[in-house]
Amino acid sequence: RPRDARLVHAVLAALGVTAYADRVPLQLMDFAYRYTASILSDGVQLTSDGYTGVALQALRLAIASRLQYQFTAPLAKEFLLELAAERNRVALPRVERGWGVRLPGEKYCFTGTGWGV
Amino acid sequence: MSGAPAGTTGPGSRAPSVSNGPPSAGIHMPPQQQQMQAQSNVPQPVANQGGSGSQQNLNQIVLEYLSKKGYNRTEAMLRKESASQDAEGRPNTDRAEDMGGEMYQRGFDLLKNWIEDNLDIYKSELRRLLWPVFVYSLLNLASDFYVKDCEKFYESNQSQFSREHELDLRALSVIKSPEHVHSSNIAKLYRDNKYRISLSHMAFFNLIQFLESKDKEGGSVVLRVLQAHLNLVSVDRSAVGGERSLAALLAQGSDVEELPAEDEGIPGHNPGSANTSLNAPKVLTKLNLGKMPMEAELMEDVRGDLQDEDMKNPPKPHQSSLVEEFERQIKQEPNEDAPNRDDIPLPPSLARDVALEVQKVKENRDRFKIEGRTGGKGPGLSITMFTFHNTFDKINCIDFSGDTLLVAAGMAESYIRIWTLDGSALPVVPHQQSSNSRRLIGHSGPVFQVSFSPGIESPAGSDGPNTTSRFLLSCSEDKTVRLWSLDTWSCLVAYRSHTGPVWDVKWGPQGHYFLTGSNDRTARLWSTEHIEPLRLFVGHDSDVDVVTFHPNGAYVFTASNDKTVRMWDISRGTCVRMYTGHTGNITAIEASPNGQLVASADDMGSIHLWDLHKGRRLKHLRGHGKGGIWSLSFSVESTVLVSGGADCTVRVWHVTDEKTDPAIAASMKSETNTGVKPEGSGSDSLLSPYIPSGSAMGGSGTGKKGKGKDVAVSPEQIDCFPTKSSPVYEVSFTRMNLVLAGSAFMP
Repeated sequence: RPRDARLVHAVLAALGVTAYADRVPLQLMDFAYRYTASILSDGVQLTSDGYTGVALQALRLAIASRLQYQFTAPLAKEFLLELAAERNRVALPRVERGWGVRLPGEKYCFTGTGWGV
Repeated sequence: MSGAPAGTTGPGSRAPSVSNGPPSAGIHMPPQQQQMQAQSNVPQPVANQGGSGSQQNLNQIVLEYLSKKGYNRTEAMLRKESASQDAEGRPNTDRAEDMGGEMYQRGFDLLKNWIEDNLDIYKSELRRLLWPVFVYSLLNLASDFYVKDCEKFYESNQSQFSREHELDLRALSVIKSPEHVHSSNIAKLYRDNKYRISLSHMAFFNLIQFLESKDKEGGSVVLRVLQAHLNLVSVDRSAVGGERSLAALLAQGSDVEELPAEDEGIPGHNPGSANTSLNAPKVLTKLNLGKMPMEAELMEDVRGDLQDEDMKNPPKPHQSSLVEEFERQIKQEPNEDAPNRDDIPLPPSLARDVALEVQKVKENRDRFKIEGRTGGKGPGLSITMFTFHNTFDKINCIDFSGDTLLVAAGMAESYIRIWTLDGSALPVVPHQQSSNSRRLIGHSGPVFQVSFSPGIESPAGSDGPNTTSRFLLSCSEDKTVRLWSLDTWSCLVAYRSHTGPVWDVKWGPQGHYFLTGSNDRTARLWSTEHIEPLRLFVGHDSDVDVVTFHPNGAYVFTASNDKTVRMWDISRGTCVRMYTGHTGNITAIEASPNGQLVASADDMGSIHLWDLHKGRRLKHLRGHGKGGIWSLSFSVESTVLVSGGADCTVRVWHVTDEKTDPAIAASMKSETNTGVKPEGSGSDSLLSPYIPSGSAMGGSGTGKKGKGKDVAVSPEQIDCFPTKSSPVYEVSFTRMNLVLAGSAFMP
């Protein structure tokens, strides 16, 4: 078996995970490869001094550039509680009499026609 | 100490004699100098014995010499000052605290042995102390730099907690030094909060008395831990409730699996209460659990339609008329318990709603009635199981529409496929061939839950409004919730607000609101008309895994990986109930149609039934295997619960109120002893050449011991229907008390 697959099995065993579906090591390896490959290719592109190889600064920049949307930590509970208090203070909006499908405004829906212009 | 260096230099060479005058100089001379002097003045006997005698003889020899010579005061002084050393010359540790790292092990062993030797009625509640004492001792050892002792302590004691606290144990196993304590989540959680345990008065007094009496042998260590980190609440035994009352304890067998008390742990709280502060009042918030009252116009219209219906199809002799049925339903609701209609705005009723209500009354009257225990055997329940083949483990969720015509399955490949259950063709859409299934493509991540809007089968051949489901909601890992139309088979709206994958979405009972639970630890209430969520339910400490509505639509339930179930009020957004006591991650939750109970199931295979008014746990049902129970459903009368899980079984449980419980428990015991198998569990078999091949499971296998494991099955289980190897993703009772079940075959 490939070395990486054996590594993933060993890591899972070391963490005490004994019961897992067969495709779990494959999924983990997939993710590991995708992540490191994208960071490294970004690093290569971002390196300014010398066009081959990756500079440490470029690597740091590559990782930082993804922190906005990847691996975001859940927000702090106090902050969420404040947000919730504000949102929940508003009374539930009245429902007007209407027939047919109740949807938000047209600009929020996908009900428009694609004119293909 | 002083004995050792003098002893080693004794035999070989003469210790440099301290010439401070004759040995009978004052008591203020340090014993060390005295010893050395005495030694140098008594060369021969010391030299002879020095080789063979070791440190322990030295003191004896000196004392003998002194007494022989008559130096009484010197001798007394030597005795007194060497009393703090033992024979080896090492400090005498008779207080546990002086032993360093070992004191915690001593204290723990002391506590454990005392508990084991204690009276049975106190044992179960005192045993709950062991876990927090273990955790806090471990954390103290780690933060005081006793690395080796910490490891030893963990190794020797962790096995007794592995059943209940497996995950916590794994997190604690890496904590060995102060840095670990500062950076570990679980250490911070335990250290920043006090662990609450309640004990009855007698047990509490006994405990304190014992610890004080065994002060030196480790009692003081345990007492310090208790004072600093635990919040011990001493309660009257009768107030603690059914499980702890003397009668219940004496009746309990000795190997009953023990569950944490409902108010134990971090954060400790009064059972059922959502208030986790230390001085929370014992009063629970009042709940309005009755049915949502219907609008007056709607009632009139429904009554009129029911009368027409009665005239068209007069009721058979054994049936009541539809109007009588409707009146009976209305009379059942006491007025004070009903939620206020003004608090929850709902769309004004339309003709479709009238038709819906008429159909509901009809199905309620014509349903298969499950009323109480039918003479020693369980109810003859019909379960229709639909098994999906060739799924390659891509199916994440299944949902059946209210009119039992359609089934939707959400896939890990980001689309949803909808089939007709009887193989008939779906309505034609331009540019597509006629077929019995259709794909809904739009999400960009695996779909975790699909939910049909409330609907019911239209009466056959009627020209009234269509009452079938019109919408489908789906939620996925791409943080959006999509509303699909089942008329145009396209996506209408994508609701974006969550900041993490959305794990669950459910429609409200009136079809206007829906609720989502997500990885970002919040649950949000939406209305189809608004693109932003209307309510934010914040309170869980871990992601919200499953959500459901209360049947009257005024409350919602959420459950999370932090092992709590919370109940929220929609109109105010506040948490009104919190239920702790699960030992595993919660994977399914369902409220009973009578509005009094909620059932939640976890991945350790146990189902807990909670009473909403009183805030206590009613039942704990065991029998499912580990791996997760994916779906729960109550019968129309709320007396039967059916559950389907990852152990590939569908199980049927009996749920009654406590008043009738002892009588039924007695009769159930005799029933299982004689091994009566419930008969009449007929089922329909639906064979179709299309993908959802309905393979009906009609076997009745009562399992007294669940598959030979050491988990005993609760006596409330009526039936267990095993499948070959298809985990069951969805079970649902229709309004006629037929069970639909959906599973995916995994070879």
